[in-house]
Amino acid sequence: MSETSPRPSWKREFLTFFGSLKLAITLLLLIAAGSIIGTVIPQDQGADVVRTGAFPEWLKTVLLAARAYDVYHAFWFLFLLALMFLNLSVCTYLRFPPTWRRYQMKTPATPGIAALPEVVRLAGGPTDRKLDMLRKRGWNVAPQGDDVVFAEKNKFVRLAPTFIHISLFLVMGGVIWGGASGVKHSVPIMVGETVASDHIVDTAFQRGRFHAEPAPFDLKLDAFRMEFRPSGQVKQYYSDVTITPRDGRAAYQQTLWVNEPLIHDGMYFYQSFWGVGGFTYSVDGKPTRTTLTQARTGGYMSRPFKVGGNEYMFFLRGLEEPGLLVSTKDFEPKAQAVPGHAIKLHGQTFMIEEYQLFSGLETKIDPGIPMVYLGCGMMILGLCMLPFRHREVWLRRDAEGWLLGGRTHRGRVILQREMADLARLWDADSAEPTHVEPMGASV
Amino acid sequence: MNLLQIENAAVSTTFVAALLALAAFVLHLGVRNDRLKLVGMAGMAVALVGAGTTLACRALIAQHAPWSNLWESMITMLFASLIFYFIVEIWYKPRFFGVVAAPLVLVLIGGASLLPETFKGAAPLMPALQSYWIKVHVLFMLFSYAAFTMSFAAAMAYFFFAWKAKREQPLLATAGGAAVMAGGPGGSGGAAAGNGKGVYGDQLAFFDELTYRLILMGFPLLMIGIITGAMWANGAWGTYWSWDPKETWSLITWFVYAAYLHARLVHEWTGPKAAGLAAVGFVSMIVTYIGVNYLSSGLHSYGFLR
Ligand code: HEM
Repeated sequence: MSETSPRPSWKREFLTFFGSLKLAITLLLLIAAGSIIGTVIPQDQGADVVRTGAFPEWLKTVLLAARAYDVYHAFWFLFLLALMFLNLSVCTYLRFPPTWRRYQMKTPATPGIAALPEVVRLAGGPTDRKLDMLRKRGWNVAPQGDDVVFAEKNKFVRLAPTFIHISLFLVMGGVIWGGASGVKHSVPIMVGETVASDHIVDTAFQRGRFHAEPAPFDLKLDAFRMEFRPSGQVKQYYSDVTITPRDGRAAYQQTLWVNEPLIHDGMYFYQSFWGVGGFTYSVDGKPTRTTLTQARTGGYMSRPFKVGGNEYMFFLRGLEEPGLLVSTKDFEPKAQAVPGHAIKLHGQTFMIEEYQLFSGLETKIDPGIPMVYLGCGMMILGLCMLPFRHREVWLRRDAEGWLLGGRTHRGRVILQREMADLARLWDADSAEPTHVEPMGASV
Repeated sequence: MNLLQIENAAVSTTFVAALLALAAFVLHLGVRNDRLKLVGMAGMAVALVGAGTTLACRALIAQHAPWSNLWESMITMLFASLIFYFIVEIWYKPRFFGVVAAPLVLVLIGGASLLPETFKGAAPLMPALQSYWIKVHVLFMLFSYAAFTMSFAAAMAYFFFAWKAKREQPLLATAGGAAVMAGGPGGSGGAAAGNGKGVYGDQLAFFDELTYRLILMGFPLLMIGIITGAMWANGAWGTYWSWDPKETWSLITWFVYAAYLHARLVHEWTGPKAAGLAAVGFVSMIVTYIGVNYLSSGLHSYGFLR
């Protein structure tokens, strides 16, 4: 950076290295390459995926050392991300001041016209009418004395990259802040049951060091409903809940469903999963309620219970299949059971009365979200500016008449065409025709 | 005719029109009669109308946004690619863009037609997918894919003319081509591409820049696509990012194109290297679009709330 004052050389070297675009490109490509690992190796099953996988030994060692089973939280991956943000900070520090100075400048120093990448000779000099024509086409025209006219278009685009890079900081900041101040939990809740918000926060599987907490309240699941299509597929899941704040505010009822979360005091509840949490059975008409737990092999399993002096466990694969009564002696299925249908077992009448479903609510508090979305919005705005270019042209008198010279940041061929168009328009207003070289790209 | 028949007719028309367009563009490259280029463009216009008609029929038949399964998404991408093709034709007036754009259009319509019936079915959407955001998300992704597809076409044109330049320059030098090549042999190297003045030098500089321009259009679209996807995920299950393979690949594509945009800033890192990086971005995009489904299963194979 020529603008920066002399510094101790280690500092200059640090800035040059960490502010360099080559480092940025390298980091972007490294992060892209590293991300591929996580799309090939399952990320949610722990290191065993690698240990028991069909890899050669050396590769296993490498994959384990690189935490390939959890790359996105691996040290080296986070390090690359951190390096990218350091890179971005230094780069912004070095380049923003000159960018801003240029942005505020009404008329930059006039370059030698021969130094401009595109030059065409014009037939006539500027007249008010011609300059107005430029203005009408979106050019900002600034005459400088008798011999020079400066005009530019879309200057704001110069600020777009800075805008984009700052938005990246906002997104990253929001993600980090969300991690530090957020709470995340999955809450399975049976119909009729109540959970307390402070209990959710206390037992959350993910809870930031500076986590926020809503004023305590209770959430009761009044009903869990499924809506079906004619084909039998599930169309939608609904949870009817009652929220009772413990700070004296009135209790209220609300329904949440997939894509329509419930929000109370910054705490979100999403309809995320469901399952069978228990069932009621009767032996000779005497009902008993018992719980079902998720079996390792899939499906649900009950604790042992007795029918006619013999011990059974109940196994259920899914609601659409009959359940199985499995003897605990030999673990062989002895009978099938469907709700509402009595079966005879050891001389007694056994019946499944009903299943009790639970609704799975994904719960979260994430104060980082507004910042993430603000960053995303800024990034979109900045990116949408990019297809526009900042162009600068100078009209300049020389011994033979007038020249039009122009430059733009990156986009030469298209500048050529635009200059030719401008010259043609200019020409339409002049007595003699302007001489324009035919454009290679367009012919 | 009922809607289904109109749809089938539209698909066939699109295919034939794209095929004729390609033939006209190839002839144009050989004969250099600009009327042939107009024939090719007319073919592309018919293909655009055909794709649009197909989408309209689909929407009326299936009663949902016509980009809900693989077949529909390919037709939407085809439609979007043709829009980008015409944007390029109108804004940048290239001489030889059709000859690289038409084959990709053909691949899309041909590929869609060859898909097994199961990819055409209009299965009802699972609850998590019944969202406004997902429609917006997919539409933006498909439009960004289309822009990247056209940028790939431009990169291929770059390689094609670089190859032609290499092959024909010695010939021209001996056959009195010196007058044409007043500026010396241009465009055979990266640095020379920007100011090459050879027969193909201008074409090389042009396609280099066109690739860049199309990526500049695709990049914001991809960004909007990724963000609306994150917003949908956040509304559906409270996590805006979960490193699901398809999500991750869209981010990889984004990183590669970001690298491309920055690479161009380094001493105008234009020419073959840039075109190569654009091709890498395109491959990454293809993996994001279809390859991921063969890599592993994730959220996008829809494992939630079956
Ligand atoms: C994910 C990370 C990044 C994204 C998405 C990103 C995005 C962009 C985009 C879209 C542009 C505009 C390109 C153009 O006009 O052709 C740009 C320009 C630029 N970026 Fe980045 N960038 C990232 C990281 C970085 C990093 C780490 C650096 C650090 C050196 C950097 C330095 C620059 C510079 C110097 C420019 C040019 C500014 C100008 O045109 O005046 N970027 N960036």
